[in-house]
Amino acid sequence: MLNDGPEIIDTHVHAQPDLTDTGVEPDADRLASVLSECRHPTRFLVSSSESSPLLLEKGNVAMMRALGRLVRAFPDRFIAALMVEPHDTDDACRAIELGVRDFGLRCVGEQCQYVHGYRTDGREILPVVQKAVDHDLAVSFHVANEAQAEGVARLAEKFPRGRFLAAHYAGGRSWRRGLRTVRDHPNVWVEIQAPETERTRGVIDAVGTSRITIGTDFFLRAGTDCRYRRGDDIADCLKALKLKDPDVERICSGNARELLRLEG
Amino acid sequence: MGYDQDAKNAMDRLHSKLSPEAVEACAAEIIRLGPEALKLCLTFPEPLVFPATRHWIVSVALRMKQEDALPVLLEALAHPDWRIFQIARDALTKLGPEVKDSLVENLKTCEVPSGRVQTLYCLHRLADPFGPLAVGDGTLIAPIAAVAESDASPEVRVMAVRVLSWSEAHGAADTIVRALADPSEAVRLEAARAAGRLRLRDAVTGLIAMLGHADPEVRADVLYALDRIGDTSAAPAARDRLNDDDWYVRWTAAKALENLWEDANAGALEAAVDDDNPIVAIAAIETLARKAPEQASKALAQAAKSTSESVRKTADFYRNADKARR
Repeated sequence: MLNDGPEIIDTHVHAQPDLTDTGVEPDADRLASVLSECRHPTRFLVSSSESSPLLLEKGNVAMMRALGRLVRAFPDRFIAALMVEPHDTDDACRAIELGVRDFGLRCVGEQCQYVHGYRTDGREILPVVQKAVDHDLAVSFHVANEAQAEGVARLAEKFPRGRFLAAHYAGGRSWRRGLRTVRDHPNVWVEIQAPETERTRGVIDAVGTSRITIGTDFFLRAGTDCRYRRGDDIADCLKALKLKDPDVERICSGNARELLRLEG
Repeated sequence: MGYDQDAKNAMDRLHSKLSPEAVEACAAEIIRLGPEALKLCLTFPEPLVFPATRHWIVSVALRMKQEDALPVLLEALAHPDWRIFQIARDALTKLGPEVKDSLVENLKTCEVPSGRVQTLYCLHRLADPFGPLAVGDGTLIAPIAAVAESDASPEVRVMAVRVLSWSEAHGAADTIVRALADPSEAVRLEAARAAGRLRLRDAVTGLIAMLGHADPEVRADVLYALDRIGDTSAAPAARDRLNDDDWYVRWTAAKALENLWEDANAGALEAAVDDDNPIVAIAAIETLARKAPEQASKALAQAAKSTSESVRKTADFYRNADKARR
């Protein structure tokens, strides 16, 4: 790793079950190999996989402990985010409290409502969002269509003290409509997922440079062939758009620090 | 689960090992073989679990002659598997306004309701007034409104109403208001949501009538539509819902009263601060504190004694905010 250029905080990384569910201690060499091709110093806001058997069968508290083990092993690389399965409200809220108390939890999400079977602004998620607000945590949502963007916009309006992160350009293929839906809510941040000039420019035009993060939806696996490069690629894309250096730095990590209330 | 993660990971690994030359040779061969080969690609959904494969098939379809690819893509819109119809939708959208008339025609000729639903979705993308395709000029409103009013399938009428509202088709406001009386409950509910999206004041009377629906999810959605419209004539009906049996409806009502503000809301919200459900109590505190801070101090003092830590924290926040304001 060359550690060249501004730090990147990738706000959308999923540790796969081979890292979270096995109980095996995380391997420092493997992690080094994942990041070996990064030019920028890089940190991950890491949550679980939406299909983790540990999460689905043992629940949120069990997942928080497993994820916490990973994050604690590499505190300079990982920041904890907890993807909550919200149907068991008590378990979800206990897991958040555990994460805050023991593992430096900074974000609830990425909330994968489309997998776990609830509406973005449905009744299941409201106690979870309130718990996040109580603990000053951000809440990140999978947003890949108009309805999901509308759900985030509604939560942002109805929880004015909350901070929300809309993944996938706030709309996936429907990103223009998604951005139109969330742009007027100052407590919604939007993730740039890939080095795509048109969509990146569209996000900047919609919400400015101060509410954007890099969030690549990277699958962090234990295998030796797992390599992370996309953060660098997006940083290059930002430079190619001829953004000023402070704006590039903001998008690469400054906005994430503000969203996640990170000190360092 | 919506897909098989192991298969996705395996495809990811395979994809990273394929040479660009091999990928290009395969694409060239599909293009040489023509529509039958494209049809074959759009027949078996399992290998299409990997997003890059779906994107690649879209790119291949776009390199074919349009007259060859178009019938195959339109037919694929009616496929029951999302991996297939998503490819067709993406390719048709990228073909742009040139295929608009073919899509409108498909609304009439496609016999499968889900195919007409996906066709509407493609038209929605083309009609998006914020897209680069320059057809967000209203020309698609009439054919989509006609489907909303007359298609035999409720599923298709639901999608047509949704697309009209997503596309900000204010020219179709009358269609949406009429859909509040559609024989299908699903269409009526979608019309309520659409009326909220477009903030249609003409829909308020019809929406208030729907607040007595037996399903709390419907009552909540209707209240949210009234919240978005912001017509205070709905405030008394919203205040009544603070006593609903369902907490999600009460929460929606407590929040809606902010946009439906009139002085009579304050007393109703003060009472709601004692709600058994802390999420509702917090909503009542916030609405009261934001809209009538002068009247909120008694309710905040009461909330500060709540057994719920969340309620107490919220009350503290707004008490401090009020002190700072003074």
